[in-house]
Order: sequence, then structure tokens, then C-alpha cells
Amino acid sequence: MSDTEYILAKVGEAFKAAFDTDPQLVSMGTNASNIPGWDSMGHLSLASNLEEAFGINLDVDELMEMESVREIVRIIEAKLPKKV
Amino acid sequence: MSASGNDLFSLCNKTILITGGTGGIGQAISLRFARAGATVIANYLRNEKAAEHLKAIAAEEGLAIALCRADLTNERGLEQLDRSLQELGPHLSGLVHCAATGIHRPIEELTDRHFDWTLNLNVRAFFKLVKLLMARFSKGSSIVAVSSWGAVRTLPYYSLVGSSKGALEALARHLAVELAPHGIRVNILTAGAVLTDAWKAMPNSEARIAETIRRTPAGRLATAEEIAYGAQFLCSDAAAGIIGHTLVVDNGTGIMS
Repeated sequence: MSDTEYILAKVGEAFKAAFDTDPQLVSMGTNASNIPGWDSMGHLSLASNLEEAFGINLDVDELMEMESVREIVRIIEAKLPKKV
Repeated sequence: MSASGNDLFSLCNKTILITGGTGGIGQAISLRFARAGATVIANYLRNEKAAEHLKAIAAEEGLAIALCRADLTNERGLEQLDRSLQELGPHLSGLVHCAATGIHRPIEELTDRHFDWTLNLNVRAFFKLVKLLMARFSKGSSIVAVSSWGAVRTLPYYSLVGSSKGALEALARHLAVELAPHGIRVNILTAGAVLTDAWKAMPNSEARIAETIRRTPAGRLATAEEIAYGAQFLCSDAAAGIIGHTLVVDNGTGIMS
């Protein structure tokens, strides 16, 4: 499994925790239009679950950029330690 | 003010900003207000689908609803909103602050960032909007802060949202006193539990909804439309003498012991 696939899988689990979404339905193209409950209230719940899942801190700007799963994966990839 | 009792609840010739105006209760308020004759600016940030749905209804019914996507928690978003409002004219007749967010967890799982995120939208954005728009509000304008029972009562995992609503209510009351001499009324609308997508973010939602229904004299939750009727009243000329009031629309849940 590539790093991106690993991150996407864990992001799917975070979506399940936040919105009770089937992780299999979470793809790079997923955005708020596809997920019931992904509004401003749900967004914080998702962000909190992502922080816990990956052991990261998301700042306000990153929170605002997380408009799709593609953006979420990009932000998380940038925050995780690089393999040497 | 019109002498006709039938006109007192109309929102004709009023231009009103609804934050969080495309989903759940906010959407119901946007539609109710537009159907009552208002020009509505429905602000949103995240859910394009809900915004497009509202736009489609407005087009079908010929309602005056303009969408404005802007993040109310930063200066860039507020500037964007300001520019959008300027396009509709120099004056505003009202603001309904319905946008809200929050984390529903026990204290040991909450962080400083959760606190900041929650209060930035729920309270600080309201403060910033009133300051930004004050000069635009015409005499007779109405500002409504949408709150919940969590402001004064405890609910499971609701400490952040509840405290933000408490702060919002206190701010609204103080602004009610300061803005009354300017002809601007400020009131609070306490919305009871309503079945919207917001429940998806709350833990144990099914059990809590069932318990709330059990404790509601009417035997059912209030609907988003019923909340919107309350908002319409507060923004209408019929509420001309109502300042600093908390209007509760909850089908009677709040009076139960």
C-alpha cells in the first residue's frame, strides 16, 4: 500500500467516526456536497478525528483549506514525517 | 409602520443577511424570509450542494435569495461578505446569525484549538459582523442571534457549543441596550432540537432525539420552519417593541422539569 493509499484509508475511518460514512465511499474526489452532515459543525468533528488518527495539529488555515478529501490528504502528507 | 395588521409580519422592502443560511434551520429561515418578501443574502462556507439546492428553490419560486460563500472567521471572508452586500445596496434591514460549529466531546478530549474554533464562529463572527455592518443597518433593523438551550442548561458533550451560545446571548443582550438608541433591535432566538444534519456530528444522537421527544409536551420536535416563523416575527415590524428578548421555539421542551 502506498503512503497516499494508507492516508486515504485512515481518512475514510475518520469520516466514518465523524459522519458514519462508509469508508469505502470516501475517495479523493469526495467533498462536502457528497457527505450529509459535512457542514461547519461536522467539519470540526472531522478535523478533530483526523488530528487524533494521524497525531497531527491542524491550524486554522489548514482547516479552511480542507474542502475535499484530496486537499485533506495533501495537507496530511505534508505534515507527516518523510521516510528516509 | 403599516396600519394594516396583515402587513406587520411582512418582510417586504427588507434586506437581511442570514449566516449559515443554506442548511438546516438557516435554510428554513432564508426561505421563510424570502417568501415573506425579503431580499435575503444567505451566507455559507462548506456545503455547495445545500447552497445549490436553495438556489434552485429560489429560482423555481422567484424568490430574492443571493448566495454568499464566505468564511466569517477571518478578515478575508468578512471582506468578501462586505463586497457582496455592497452589490445589493447601501442598507441592511437585519442580520440573523445562524452559522455555528463545535466539537462535542468531554473536557478531557477538548483542546485549546477546539475552543478557539468553536468560539471564533459562534461568538466572534457575530461580534465582527455587527461592527462591520452597524453603519448599514437602517432604523427599524433587527438583529437575531440564534441560540440553543445549551446556553443555559447542560447537555451531553455540549460544553463548548453551550458556552459559546451563552457568550453569544450575553453579547446580544448588551448589544440590545447599546443599539436600541440607534433604532436597531437585537434579540435572541432559542431553537429547540430540530431534526437536521447537525445531529450527525453529535454522539448518541438517536437516543438523545428520542429522549427529547419524550420530554416534549407536543410529542414531537419543533421543525426548522417553526424556528423560521419565530425569526420572521423578530425581524418584522410586529416585533417593534421587542428588544433584548429571548424567544424560545421548542414545542415546550424547556418548561419540563
